[in-house]
Amino acid sequence: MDQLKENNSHNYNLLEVVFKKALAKASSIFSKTLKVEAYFEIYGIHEHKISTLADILYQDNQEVIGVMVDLVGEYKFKFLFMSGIENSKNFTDRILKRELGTTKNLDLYCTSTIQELGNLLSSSISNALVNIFDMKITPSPPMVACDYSATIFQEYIMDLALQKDTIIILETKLNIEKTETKCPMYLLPINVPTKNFMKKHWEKKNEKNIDR
Amino acid sequence: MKKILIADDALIIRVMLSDILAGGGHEVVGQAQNGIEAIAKYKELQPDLITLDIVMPEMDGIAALEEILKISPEAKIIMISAIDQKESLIKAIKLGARDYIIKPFENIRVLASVKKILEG
Repeated sequence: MDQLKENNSHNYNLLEVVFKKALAKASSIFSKTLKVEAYFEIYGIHEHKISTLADILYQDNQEVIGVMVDLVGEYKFKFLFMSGIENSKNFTDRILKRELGTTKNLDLYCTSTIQELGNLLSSSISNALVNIFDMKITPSPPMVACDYSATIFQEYIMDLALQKDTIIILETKLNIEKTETKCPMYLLPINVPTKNFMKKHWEKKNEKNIDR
Repeated sequence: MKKILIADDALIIRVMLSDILAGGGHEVVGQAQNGIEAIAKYKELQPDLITLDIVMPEMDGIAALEEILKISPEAKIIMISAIDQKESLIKAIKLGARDYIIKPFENIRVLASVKKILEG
């Protein structure tokens, strides 16, 4: 049992290292898009029983725009980015280079802005993993929903709940101009990468580089 | 004034690209939200150039690129995508895309690419 715990802990550290690099890339793309200093950092990596997840989710339930992307290929994970209503209006003004406060209501431009931010973030994460490990990962078209965060999260992981009892959640927090902003991004790996898995892809990439 | 068709599933990108292209003196004659609409609008509007996003619902940009080039092998198409992966880039260029721009894009890069392709 201790051995199992130790292995899990080691593999979670590996997951953290891999996704840290991907988040650095995502932060840079996010900053460039909104023309603001922003960075995502890992808030925690947890394993949860799906049946008890609702209790945690409802503790901080707020109305958000959520973007969901399935990343498929040699390493599969689910991606979820959520932005509160006020932040969404702010991001819309920034992306359209308008004076902050111009967007008064939640409209199609807001949902589309968050959809595109989700698209850019999920793509930059998959691009980073592809570049580091030479894996084949492709993002699906982003799906957008406007609802309460707990509802969006639960509906999005419904298909996972049919396959397994527990879920791994890599939770990030966003800092904009050094201030924490409530825009969580969740990466839900279908499996935790093992040392052997990473080694295999790392060696494959190096072989290709030598061939060139 | 050259006619341009924009295909992207995100409204905000279609708005941003329209503004950039209009600022560069081009006429955006139509917008499409997926590959199927892009093909239909290409047939209907006969634009001088198309910008195609790769990841779109219903039909993606790569499939639309292939279909449009079957209709008109000389079609001038620029892929605009957040996917910065060698394989998809090479695939699009091999199929016949004239250029590939990675999002988030700079106005100057979009206009330079459009100018180069329209004049080429």
